[in-house]
Amino acid sequence: MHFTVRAAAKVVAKKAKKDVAKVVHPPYYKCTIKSQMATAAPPLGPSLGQRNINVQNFIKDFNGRTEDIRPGIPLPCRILVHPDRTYDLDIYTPTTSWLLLKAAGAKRGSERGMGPNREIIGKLSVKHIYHIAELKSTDKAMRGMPLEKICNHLVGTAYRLGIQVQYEDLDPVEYKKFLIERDARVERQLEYWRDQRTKKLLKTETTEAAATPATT
Amino acid sequence: MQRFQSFLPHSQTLKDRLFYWKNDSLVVNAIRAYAVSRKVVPQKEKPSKIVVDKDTQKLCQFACIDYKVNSTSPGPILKANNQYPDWLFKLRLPNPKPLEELDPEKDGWLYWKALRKRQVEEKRFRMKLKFRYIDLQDSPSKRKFNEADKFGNFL
Repeated sequence: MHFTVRAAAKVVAKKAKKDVAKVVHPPYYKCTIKSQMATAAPPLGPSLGQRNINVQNFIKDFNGRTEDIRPGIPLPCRILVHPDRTYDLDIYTPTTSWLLLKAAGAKRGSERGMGPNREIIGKLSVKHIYHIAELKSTDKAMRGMPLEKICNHLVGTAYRLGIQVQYEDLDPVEYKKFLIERDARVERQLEYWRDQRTKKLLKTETTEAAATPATT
Repeated sequence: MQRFQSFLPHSQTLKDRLFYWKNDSLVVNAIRAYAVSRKVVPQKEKPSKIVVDKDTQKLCQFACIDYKVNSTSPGPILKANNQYPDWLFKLRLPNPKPLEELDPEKDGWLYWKALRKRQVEEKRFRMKLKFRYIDLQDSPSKRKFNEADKFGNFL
């Protein structure tokens, strides 16, 4: 192809300098931190730093306050930053999903969302829900919320996780059978995903070997 | 080259353009003729750190939700039915039944909701039978994840 200078007389556009915009964050920050395991690693460290909080102080404060809680439990936190670099830290009760999964004896959530074909990962009775709701009502965010509403919220979350809630009490023997079946299922699922990953790995290895890069 | 450039989409930066002028010389941006394969690193299987009690006797007697270090019981003990408020046993529990098990007289709006959803699914199925949605080239990358495959693997 033959190009002439005169034919394509377009002025070279000056490459626009990518202005790094300085983002001003709101003084309110929501996060979930594991108890006694706060670190300065991302995403916590940078996001706190951007809001002008002394990260090391925060970590000491958080880990100190969660010493009576077992390590590794996810706790929702709400941080309010003041202009003079002080902050208010509210640590709430553990996340709803963690509580529900623990109460049902389940580790892994469902793979088949909602609807009649959903996967049931555990069972709870309404009494379990009531006690979890009692715990949740001690949260600052739940002030003034009637227990019935909290129970409704929990039932909704349980449904989305795959936990079936029933009015009757759970029978230990039957539930044991269910859990054994469930463990077998989880093994099959994990095996399936492991196979998928190895297949993908082998596929990319063969394409890398076969590909020849084009010259500019 | 105005005739050529009119086919090109408007672009902000020089990198997006196929050709651009730099000091009276024409620069051609390289056009890749192969797919860039991202390195797939084999993921190390991390053991699950979640500690869950599988003792069903405990799970059925207590609400095993204790999270404190110094705890005497696994959680609050479950009491008899009369110790709980009445509204607890009238909570609306989502247990969706398929359309075949629903009845407009008994379930009312839930039946009609499920019916509408089923009608939409049937329409989608019929649309897919049309010619323009048939893939003549049976390539694995174009093959969609079938409903049967989705459920059949773990049943």
